[in-house]
Amino acid sequence: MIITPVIRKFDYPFLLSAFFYRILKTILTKAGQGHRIIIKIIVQQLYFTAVEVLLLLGIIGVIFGALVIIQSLAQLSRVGISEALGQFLVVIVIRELGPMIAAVIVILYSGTAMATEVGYMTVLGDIRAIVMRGIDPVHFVAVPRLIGTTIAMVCLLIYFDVVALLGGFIVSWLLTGIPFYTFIMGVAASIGGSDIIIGFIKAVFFAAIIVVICVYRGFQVGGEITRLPRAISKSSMDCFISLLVIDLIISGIFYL
Amino acid sequence: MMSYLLECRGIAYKIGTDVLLEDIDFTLSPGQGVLIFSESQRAASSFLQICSTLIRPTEGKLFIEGKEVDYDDQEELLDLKRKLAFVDKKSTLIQNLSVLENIALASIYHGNKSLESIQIQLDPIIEMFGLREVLYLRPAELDPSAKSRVLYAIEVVKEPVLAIFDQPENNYNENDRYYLFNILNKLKEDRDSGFLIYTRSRSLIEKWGDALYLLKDGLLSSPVDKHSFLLSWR
Repeated sequence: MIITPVIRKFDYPFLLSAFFYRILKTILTKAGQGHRIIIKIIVQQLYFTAVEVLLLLGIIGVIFGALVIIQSLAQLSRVGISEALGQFLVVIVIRELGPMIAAVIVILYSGTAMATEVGYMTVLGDIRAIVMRGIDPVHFVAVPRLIGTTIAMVCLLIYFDVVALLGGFIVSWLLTGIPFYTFIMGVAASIGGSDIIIGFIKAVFFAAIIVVICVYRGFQVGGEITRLPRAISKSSMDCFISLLVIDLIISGIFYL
Repeated sequence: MMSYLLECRGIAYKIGTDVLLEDIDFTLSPGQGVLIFSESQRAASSFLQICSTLIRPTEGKLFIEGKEVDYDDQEELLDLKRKLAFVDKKSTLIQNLSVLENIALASIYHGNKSLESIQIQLDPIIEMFGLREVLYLRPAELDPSAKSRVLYAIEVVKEPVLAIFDQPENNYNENDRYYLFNILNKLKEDRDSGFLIYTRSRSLIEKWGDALYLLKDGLLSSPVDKHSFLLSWR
C-alpha cells in the first residue's frame, strides 16, 4: 500500500520525541553511573564539536559580520542613520544568524560524523558489545554526545557572536571611521538580556535536535552497511529542516 | 525446590514460517558443563542467543537463577548480561577502544574505577590470555587469534555465573586451544559457573563437558552418551 510509508512519515517526530525522552530519563536515572568514562566521552565530543571548528567558525563569523555591515551601510547611508549599524548587527547576527550558522556548522562537521560513527558502531557490532557488558547504549553513546554537543553549541554561539561583531566593527571602521566606543555602545544599546537568553535557548534546542536525529539515525542503520550513507544524508537534511522549524517557533514566541 | 542456573520451559522460536526451535525444555545447574551438537547452526545459535537474553523466544519462558526473565524490563536485561559470558561469531570488540580499554570497560563503567587501578586487578587475566604485547593496540591491528583471546578475556573478567559459547573451536586454532580449556576450567573451578556450549568439535566433545544434547529439527534431545555419539559421528 502506498499509504503506509506516507503514514510512517508522521511517526517520525513521535519516535524522535520518544528517543529524546529516553535520553533525558537516562540522564536523570543514571546520573553518576560510569562517570569516569562518560565524562571522557563528553570531553572528546566537546573537543571534536567545539575546538576543532574554532578557526572555521571564526572565519565564517568575521565574513558574516562584515557582510551584514556592508549591506547595512549601503541601505542606511541613503537615509543617514549609520549610527544604527550596531543595531543591525544585533538583530541579524545575534538574534538569527548566530545560532543558525553555528548549528549548520555543527551539523556539517559534527552531526554527520555522529550519524556515521553510531551507524558504524551498529553495523560492526560495537553496540551489541556494549549491551553484552551490561551497559545501556543510550547512556554510553547518546547521553555524552548530547551533553558535549549542547555545551559546545552554547560556546560556539558566544564565539560566533563575538567574532561577527568584531568583523562588523572592522568593516565599519574601515568604511566609515566609526570609533570602537561608538560602535560598541550602539551594540550595547540594542542588545537586551532577552536576546542573549533567547540565543542560548536556541543553541540548546538546536544541539538537542541535532544529536537526537543523528544518533537515532545511526542506531537505525541496523546490520546493513548499505543503509549507512542514506542515514547520514537523511540525518543532515532532517536536522536542517528541524532547525528552521524550531527557529521559526522560538522567534515567533519571543519576538512577535 | 532446587534452583537451576538456567531453565527453559517450552521455548519455541520462529522466523516467519521457519520453525527453528520447538517446545524446548532444558535445565542447567551451577558448575555443570553442557555441550550441544546440531547440524543446524542457525537453530543452535538461536537457542544460545535466547539463553543469553539477546533475543526473545516466540513462545515459552526463560528462567535465570530461578527468576523469570522479563523481556520488557531493559534494566533487568542489562543486569543479567553482566552475569553472563557470551561469545559467538558475531561478537566483536569496540573499535575505537584499545585492547586494555575493551577488557576493562565493564569494570570502569560499573565500578567507576580508573583504568590504572583496574589494570592491576586484570593482570592475571592479561597474563593468562597472553595479551601483554597487544594491550595498547586497537582491534583493527590485532590478528584473529589475538582478537579471539581478547573476546574471551572480556567475558572472564565479568566472573560470569553462566557462560554461553557458540562454536568456540572456530575462534581458536590448534595452537591456541590451550587458552580455551584454561578458561573453561578456571571459571568452573573458581566460580562454579554453568556452561552451555554449542560445538561441532570432536576434541571438545571428547575432552570436556558433563552432558551432550543433540538439537535436531528444532527439538532438543535428552542427554546422549558421548562415546556412542562419537562412534556414530563420521
